[in-house]
Amino acid sequence: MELRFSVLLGSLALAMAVLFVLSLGLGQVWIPPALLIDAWVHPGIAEAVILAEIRLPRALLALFIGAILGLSGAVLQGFLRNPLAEPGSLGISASASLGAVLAIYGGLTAFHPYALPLAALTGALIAVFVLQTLVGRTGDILTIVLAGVALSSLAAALTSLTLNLSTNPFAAMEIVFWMLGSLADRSMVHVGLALPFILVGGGLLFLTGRALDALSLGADVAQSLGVSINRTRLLAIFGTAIGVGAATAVSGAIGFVGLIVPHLLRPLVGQRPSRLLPASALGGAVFLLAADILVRVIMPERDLKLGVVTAILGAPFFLWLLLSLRRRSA
Amino acid sequence: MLLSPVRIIVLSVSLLAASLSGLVASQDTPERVVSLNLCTDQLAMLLARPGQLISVSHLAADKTISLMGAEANQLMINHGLAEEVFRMDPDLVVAGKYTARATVNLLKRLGKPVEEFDPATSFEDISANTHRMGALLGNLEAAERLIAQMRTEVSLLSREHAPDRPVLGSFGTNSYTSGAGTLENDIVGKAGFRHLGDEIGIAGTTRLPLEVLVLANPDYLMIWNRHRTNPSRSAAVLTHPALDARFGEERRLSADTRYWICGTPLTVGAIKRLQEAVRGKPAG
Repeated sequence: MELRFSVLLGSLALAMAVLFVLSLGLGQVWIPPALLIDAWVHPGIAEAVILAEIRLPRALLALFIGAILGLSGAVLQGFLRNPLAEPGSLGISASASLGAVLAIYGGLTAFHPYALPLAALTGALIAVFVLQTLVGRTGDILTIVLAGVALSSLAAALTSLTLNLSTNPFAAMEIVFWMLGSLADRSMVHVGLALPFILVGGGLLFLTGRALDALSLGADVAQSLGVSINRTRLLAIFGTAIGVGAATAVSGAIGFVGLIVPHLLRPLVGQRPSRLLPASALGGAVFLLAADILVRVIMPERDLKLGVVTAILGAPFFLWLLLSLRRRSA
Repeated sequence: MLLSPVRIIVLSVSLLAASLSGLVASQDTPERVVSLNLCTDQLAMLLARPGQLISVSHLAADKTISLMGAEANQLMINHGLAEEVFRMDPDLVVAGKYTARATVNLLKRLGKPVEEFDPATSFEDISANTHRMGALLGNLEAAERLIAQMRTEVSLLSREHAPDRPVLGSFGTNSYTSGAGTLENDIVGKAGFRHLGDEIGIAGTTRLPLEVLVLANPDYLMIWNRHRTNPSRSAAVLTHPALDARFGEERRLSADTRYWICGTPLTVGAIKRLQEAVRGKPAG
């Protein structure tokens, strides 16, 4: 079992590394690999600028945003003991988008660039608290999913309202980005804005591992083992809000990553939630790097949104999950 | 420019049609004209007689995209909604071919005369649209005067056939650029540049990935000044470090959107301003 787990993590890490390099090598224009390698030693040439300023930030963002989405999906599913939980379906991403849009169009980002991730994670935080209040201790699957639907729709509507009220007559066209997400033409500036928060959020989420193991035996058993439910809840809430909030601030809301990845990996890691966490982080990075390569290779000129690819792959999976849940409960 | 025979026939037929409708119009000139589109707004404001034009679109009053914001604010402002336009009881509605489709269709069904204008994609189009608007408003004389004046100014400014013309590309929000068959293409060509869109085979307005722009490396990069004051996600690409690394101040031009967004006789200003902007740069 130990060996199998190490092999799994090793191969996920390898896949991630390969996709990361591919993501640097493939783009909207074809640059011969030899020229790309050459670009490292000649920082002034056009190819070097493309590599360092356009492709590198894009690959880094795909890696870290995918990782935080996969990780938070695994933690939320484990903590809420709900197979349908993930930042997208619970409305956390949409609320983070709303925070980001308010910061940009309210002019907050003009005061300080960090207003953007901070506003987005505030939006995410509000969403998680509302969910907690609505769901309470019961953790009823239906309540959580319906609360997520309501929160997503409300956040999407308010985002649209904010863009409509903007003095910029073309702002409303941006709704697509905030709803479906994209990493097109992001820069190192955005990496700098999001990465510190993603790392902090990810760290908090990883701290829940042991408690999640205990919780899988039931809340009472967990408490008798000395696990503090409150501490775990706070870690899950703040970890998700900080990590996913900052990620959404630069990429828009990308759905389904946190849903599919933990489900695909759970059978491979056994039923230990703590093992699912690193595997889901790596798996999320692999999934999003691959999706971002797909959108560039399939339609390089069209700016296909990332959320389109993740939803086309993720939504059928979600439906299948609902069906198998019903079969299990019937 | 040599006109192909087909083009000449099309042009003369459209001119004939325009002058015929002008004849009809002169007997029965509209008294309550409403315009629904930023471009027809400005054409109508240039050509309408006092009191004839009663309402223009809210975009015409937006001084960041309209050259005639002050004039527009003297009139009623509409938002392209069928109810509000119908209640103004217009005897002529002028609209763009692609704007407010639902409203235009509804107004037609309600029996309001609607004249639709194609967006101008060249100075020839501007002449044709101006002529048609003049005919519709029963003010052909003013239209002809504006057209003649524009043609003179364009031919004075034109450096279309200058040797060694530098390449100029535009870059807008969400990485959009324009190429062949656009008004921008005609303006840039007349101002004495080769258009990046032509050089890399782009037709119409489309997305130009930042990577492609960096590799194509035009001599000048033109960015719309409007985005400097309006924060937005889609304008973030205009401050991308890769642009700063490749296109320094000496190769960057700031263009006044208001002259480019619509084809009107005022569009000559775009040529003039573009040439002045380049003269200010060391490489120019």
